[in-house]
Amino acid sequence: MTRFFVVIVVSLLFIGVSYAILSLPQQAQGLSQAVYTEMGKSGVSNPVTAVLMNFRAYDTLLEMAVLFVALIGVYSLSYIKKEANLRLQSSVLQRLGGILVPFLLLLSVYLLWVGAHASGGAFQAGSMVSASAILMFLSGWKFSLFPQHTFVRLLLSLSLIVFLFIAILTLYMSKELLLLPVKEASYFIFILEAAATVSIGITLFNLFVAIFSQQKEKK
Amino acid sequence: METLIIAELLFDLLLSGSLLFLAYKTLTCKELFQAIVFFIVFGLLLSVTWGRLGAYDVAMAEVVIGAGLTGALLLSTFMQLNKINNKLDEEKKQ
Repeated sequence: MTRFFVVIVVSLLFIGVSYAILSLPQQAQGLSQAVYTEMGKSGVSNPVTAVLMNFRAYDTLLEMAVLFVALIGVYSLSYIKKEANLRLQSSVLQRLGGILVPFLLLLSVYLLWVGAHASGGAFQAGSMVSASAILMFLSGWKFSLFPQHTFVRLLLSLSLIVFLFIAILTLYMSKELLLLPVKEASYFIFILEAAATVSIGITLFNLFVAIFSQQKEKK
Repeated sequence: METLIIAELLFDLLLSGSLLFLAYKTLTCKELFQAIVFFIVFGLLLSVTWGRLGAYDVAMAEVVIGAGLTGALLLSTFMQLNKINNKLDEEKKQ
């Protein structure tokens, strides 16, 4: 009986969604035209980076805040030991980690750099940093990037600090929040992206470690 | 040129077909571990799809976060769930 109702509801939903898709206009106008006309003022030549870091920098500022708050939430619920010495026993992982990590870090710097004029950018570079940190952590390398240290806390909040600092600076310079001056826009964007890469990388790494080490704790 | 278009069409059809199949399998398969593996493969194929659509930024984010990080988190949650279940079983026996 329930199944019957489920089938009816799902098919109604399917018809509705199909109708919505079919009734879309053939050529969606979107905002791409507006972005392309303003590209010259953005300081970068990749439209995605221009939108994320210049036209919609306020959204990105809030995204950084969301990541930061998420980490605080997870951290307050977990038990990251000061010297979490957790490793998976695998010789393959150890050798492969040693070979891969330098390349991964280099690749993340490349992604950060290339974000100005092609696909790439802070989020991709940051997740690459976190992936290589997780690889190092699982291979049992001795290093601590945990939020007990003040320095790591500084790195975690670096992007928020830099974002807020630039927001205040632009408010002072051009009387509008995060309206980057046209001439110096590329420098501002690079600083913002570099700070965001560091913070995103370490935040995602710590989110992983918090859950992973909690599981070992229960042994 | 014609054959290239046909090959692309075939590839796209294969891609979207396997995406739908993987989504179905992820939701319906009985074993949790299998579902996680299906989910990771789904994420990888989804990033290929984003690449086909020309959204390379999204593809990169998807492959690192969707397949990599989420997969690792799901796997460690799975291990934790197993431990809790084992403990419950032992308590029941006692």
